[in-house]
Amino acid sequence: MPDQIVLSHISTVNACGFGLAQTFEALCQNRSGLRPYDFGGPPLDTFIGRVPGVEELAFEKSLGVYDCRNNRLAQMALEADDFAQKIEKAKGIYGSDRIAVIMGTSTSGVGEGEAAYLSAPSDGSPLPGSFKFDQTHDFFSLPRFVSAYLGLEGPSITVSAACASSNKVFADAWQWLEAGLCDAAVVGGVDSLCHLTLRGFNSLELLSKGPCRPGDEDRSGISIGEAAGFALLERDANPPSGTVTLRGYGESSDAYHMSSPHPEGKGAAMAMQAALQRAALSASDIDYINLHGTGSAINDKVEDQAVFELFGADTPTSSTKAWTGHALGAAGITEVIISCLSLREGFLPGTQNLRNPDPAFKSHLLAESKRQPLSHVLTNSFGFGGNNCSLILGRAP
Amino acid sequence: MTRVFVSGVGVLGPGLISWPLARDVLSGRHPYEREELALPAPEILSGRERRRSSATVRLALNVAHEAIQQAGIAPSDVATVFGSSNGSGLEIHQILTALRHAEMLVSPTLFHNSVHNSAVGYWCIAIGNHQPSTSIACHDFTFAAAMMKACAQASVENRPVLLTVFDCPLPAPLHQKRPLSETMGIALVIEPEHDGRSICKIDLTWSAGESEGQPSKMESPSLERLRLGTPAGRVLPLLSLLAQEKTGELRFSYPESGQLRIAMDLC
Repeated sequence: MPDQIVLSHISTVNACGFGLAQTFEALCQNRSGLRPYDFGGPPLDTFIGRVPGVEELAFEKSLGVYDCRNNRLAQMALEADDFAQKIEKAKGIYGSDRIAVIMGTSTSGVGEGEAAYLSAPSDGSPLPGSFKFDQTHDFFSLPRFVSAYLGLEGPSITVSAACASSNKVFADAWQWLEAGLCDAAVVGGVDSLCHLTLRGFNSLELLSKGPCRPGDEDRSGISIGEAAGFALLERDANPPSGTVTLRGYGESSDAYHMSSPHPEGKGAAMAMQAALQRAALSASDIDYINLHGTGSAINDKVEDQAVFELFGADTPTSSTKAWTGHALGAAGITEVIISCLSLREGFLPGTQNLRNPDPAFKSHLLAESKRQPLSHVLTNSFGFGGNNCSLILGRAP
Repeated sequence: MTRVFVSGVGVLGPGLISWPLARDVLSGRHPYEREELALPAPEILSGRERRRSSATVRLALNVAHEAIQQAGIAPSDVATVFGSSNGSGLEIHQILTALRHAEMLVSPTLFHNSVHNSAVGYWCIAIGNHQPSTSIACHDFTFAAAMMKACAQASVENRPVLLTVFDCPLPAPLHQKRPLSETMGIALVIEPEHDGRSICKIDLTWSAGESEGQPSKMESPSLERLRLGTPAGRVLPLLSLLAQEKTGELRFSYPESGQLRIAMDLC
């Protein structure tokens, strides 16, 4: 494509920060957003990345029908970093109907479904009239709410491919932009704490006892988080120096198991390889890799194998999930935004809680953060069902 | 405008249990008779997964397989777009029911089968497909959205894409909140270039507003009920044109106030 795709505006809300500045500060100061489990129900011996202030938010009154934890997080991220005002300007340039809304989520507002089921007197009895399925629980609730909040009328879509969801939205936007089906796109992802995922991951024995410790030989699982993040993607033939651009994406399917990655990391390697190919870059051009790095025994092991196979032992890698928790369908966008901060600030985050790197690992896992100018960053997201997506972001020279 | 070619069709709905049979009905050669849909376990799944497969997975895999076989294309080379409004709705219902109990215990298998992309995951496992695959959910607009995604991917990545749109009605009590009257799946194999396998050419555009005309409908009241009874039913005007071997332009509402337009030419 002659034009480049630029991430002209970004916003984030996650457990360690409301907005870009707080998030970057938390990264620099090694301040984690994880805290002991406090989300109700029977106690869980784990840590979570819970976003403060969700319950207290003044939800947009005119859109009250969409009110649920997931859309509350979405609204927080639309308000953060003046994102909504930036979109107002973009509407003036493109028209509200030429900006697509492409969102990733694994569970949307299923928390409302949980509450509705709990409030029913017996199994199977009718759900309360106050439960607005289409506007909260349903997967399409998120782009509907985001479009309504921003006053956008372009084509909109929900991608629900588990933990790969909000990396994959960048691939979809690339395709729609290149096909001319839209002129700009608001992409992003939101996932919110809910018992379906907390209790589900607990049943799979994948929850870390303490804060997650990606890459550590004593890692015991993931710390579930919640987050929302957005990016405005526009085309630009000559992006100003320092602008972050989407250089390439790569997707693959494990075709192996619903909840275990391919044992040799075949899908992960294919996704990274495809991203390099689309970006017309070689492995040595990548200055830093933000890993999927969940902290689960098997994920970190196979991702290390795949990274080592393609990049060898020199390219610095790290996982930032000990800061934010694993935000599942919003993990992709959260780490895209951290990667943008890395490129802008010349900052490589380390891997919090890494004390004893797994001796079997061969790739270069950073323990401590460091400053260094960066040109290209690769970020990975892999999901249940075997969906993998890698993105390469670049800093315009 | 995005130009692509269709080389395979799969249909599985009440009274429309394969593309050849659906073609007879949609062309007017046979009357439409609604019959309850049986969902056989997909041949392409292996033993244990085949026996334990959910109705949604059976629906999606059977209809996807029909389209792939008809296109005569190696399934492992194709990128995959699955679209479903409800996804694994039965599994979600079962988990929500389990969460009503004080211990909040959830079955691990149920949990991993509850992800929206589980059907596409099982499809890729069944056929050994490592190509890109995705899972899309856009309520009543799922066909139009997934079609737009699949056509853009086929055109931009210059590769064949299998589009499958499917839904089973949700169980009670969710059903009262999101009532789908029918179980139905459809599949199209979409290719970037014309070749010997092509059935029709599609020119796809999207525009805001419905000023250009109403969405395409079915003439037969019973088929119009099917069109509106499930998100996959929205494809029926396209399949009708194909069955009648006519060219024409079709309109699909997407999203609230926009419109996907498809100009179809036979090959």
